[in-house]
Amino acid sequence: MKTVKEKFKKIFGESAFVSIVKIKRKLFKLTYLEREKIRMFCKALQESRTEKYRSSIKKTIKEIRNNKGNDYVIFHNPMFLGVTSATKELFDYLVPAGDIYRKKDINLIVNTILENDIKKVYFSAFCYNWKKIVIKLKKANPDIICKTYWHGSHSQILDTFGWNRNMEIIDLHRKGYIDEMATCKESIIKFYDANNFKSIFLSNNVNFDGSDYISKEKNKNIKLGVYSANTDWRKNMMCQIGAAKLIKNAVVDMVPLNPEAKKLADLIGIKMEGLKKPVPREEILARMAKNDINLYGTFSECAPMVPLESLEVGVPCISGNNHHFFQNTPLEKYLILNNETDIEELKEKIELCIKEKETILKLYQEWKIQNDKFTKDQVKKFIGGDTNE
Amino acid sequence: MNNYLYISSRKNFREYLEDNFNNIYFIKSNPYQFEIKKIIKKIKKENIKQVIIEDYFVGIKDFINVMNHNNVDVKMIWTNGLATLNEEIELGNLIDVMSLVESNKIKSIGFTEENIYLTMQDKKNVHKISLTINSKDKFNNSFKNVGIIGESDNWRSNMYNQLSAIKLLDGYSVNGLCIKRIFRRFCKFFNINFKNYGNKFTVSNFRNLLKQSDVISCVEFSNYLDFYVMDSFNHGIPCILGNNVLFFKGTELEKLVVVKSDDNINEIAEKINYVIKNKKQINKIYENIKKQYDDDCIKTIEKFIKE
Repeated sequence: MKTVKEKFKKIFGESAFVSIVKIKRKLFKLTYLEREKIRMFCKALQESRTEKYRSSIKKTIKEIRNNKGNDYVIFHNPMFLGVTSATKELFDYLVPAGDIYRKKDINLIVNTILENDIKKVYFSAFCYNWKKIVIKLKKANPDIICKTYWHGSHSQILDTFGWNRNMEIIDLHRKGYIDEMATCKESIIKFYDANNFKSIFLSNNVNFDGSDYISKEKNKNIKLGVYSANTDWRKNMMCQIGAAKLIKNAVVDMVPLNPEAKKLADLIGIKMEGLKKPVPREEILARMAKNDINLYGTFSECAPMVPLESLEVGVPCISGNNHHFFQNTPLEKYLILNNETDIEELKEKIELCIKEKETILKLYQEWKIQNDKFTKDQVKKFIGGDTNE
Repeated sequence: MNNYLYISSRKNFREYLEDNFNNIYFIKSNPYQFEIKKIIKKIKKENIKQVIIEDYFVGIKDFINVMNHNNVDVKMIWTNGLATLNEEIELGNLIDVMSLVESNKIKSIGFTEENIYLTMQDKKNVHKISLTINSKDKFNNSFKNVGIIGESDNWRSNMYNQLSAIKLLDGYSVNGLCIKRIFRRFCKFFNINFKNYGNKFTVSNFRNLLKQSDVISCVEFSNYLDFYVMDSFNHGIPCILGNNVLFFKGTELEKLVVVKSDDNINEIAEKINYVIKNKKQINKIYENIKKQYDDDCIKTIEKFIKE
């Protein structure tokens, strides 16, 4: 197919090829929803026969059985790394589960939950066919409490898979199958209230001892860390690299090292280093700790963990004005970017953070005490509360 | 005025571009060979000495070679921003263009977006350009409609935070342009009333939308709709803007119409309410700022053309 495309372009030119693609799209008018359905169908067909899928189901069942007698279980998809980290920080009884493709697997999961007398089933994010698990559970036992913890916002609607899952959650809540929806996006709570949804705000948190990572080495250059960035629009990678241009002797450390980012860095003359492939969380934390400042100036977030992880390992992290952390606190003026596309503002913030590093870390320790308490209280409410409250 | 030809693929912005440049020729972003030949013929016939190309088009390198061969100066205006370079094609196009600037095949390049200009300003023959739109007759609307501008399927437009914000306003409906299925699905799911003012982003469709809107919401993550924003203000319909608008940076207007957080539904809703209640004051301040801005725009364009 690739050779046919190339031959066509060579003979008729690129413009003609683009025109053919447009005509093809008009003839086979598929909506984005239909494309998504086809994609999921193909994925289900392919993956449901694999040993990887079968063993993931076995693991799900095993973990449900291991949690017999516990207060609740919370499903999470181990492939969603950020969601899994966030869930581990807040909850105890985790059950790993991915997309479920076969009816018999759905039934097996539902029956295992019922057999093991688990009264509360929570879902951190949502996957394919989890809605069927919820519906079957509630029909089998209306007293079972089902809640969800969503890690997204309305800006992510273009991620069709994720948004479809969010709509499933809301639809299930409207129909009474889901008792309460938790979100880590504080600004969405009022919107949920306006729609008469029962909702609760749950903040993400980090709970590890960062002191093991803290580095006392001084860098020859100004080292800026850019992690969890890629060409996803949300990550606003290019503006962060652009800001490095305005800092004298800046070097950008990036993992994974994105080829487009490298091209831009070469074009505008910035030094860049890093690793091409993703690495385990511990390695990222170690790299973060060696930088002067870490950057996470994304366009849209809910409760991002990268800024907290960075501060835990002793390095300030500048993030976008799109989450609730540090709002209306002394840390806001240091760590929150008003305009994520303004590289001059980012440059000023970087310089300020380098100058006031010790102050920032001290303020963070004070802020953390309050944040930890708030997070624990909210989780207690989420777990302890039920629909009758 | 210097003898030049301005080549643009943004035909839907004809009225706006004509406020800035004379002698504009519109092509597709992926023109056929015969279209390129047509332009070359026109340039030779009218003895044009300078060509200003707006953004990249397929076949641009060959076109520039022909221009250089015929001793016609080629300049470029780049209208996209730093944030959109995450799109591989966009970045590749910019790299190609900058190599043409380095090799003097393109005489100079002007960037309309501040951030990308700041990263390139140490290179030779790089300018900052500002474009404007002439003032228009004012509308004074009170329909309980909020107009939204942007593309339903483009992340930059931040449509769905804005729609959610309008849901929080009591009794307001949405006016939109080029509304796609994804937009309709969202509005239907959350019971938001809306109306579509056309399936093409044209100036006349946009102005029809303006006539029926109290205010316009344009809370983009990364701005690229400056023309619509200006046109809206020029008609006396203020815009609520995302915190990425460097056009108003540091002015009184910034505090009144720019949200602090583009990702905060509540803040967008509060700002829309505020702007609706304070339209007159905002419009007055805009008129004062615009006079200075227009003067600056004319200077940047003249300098770019004459150099």
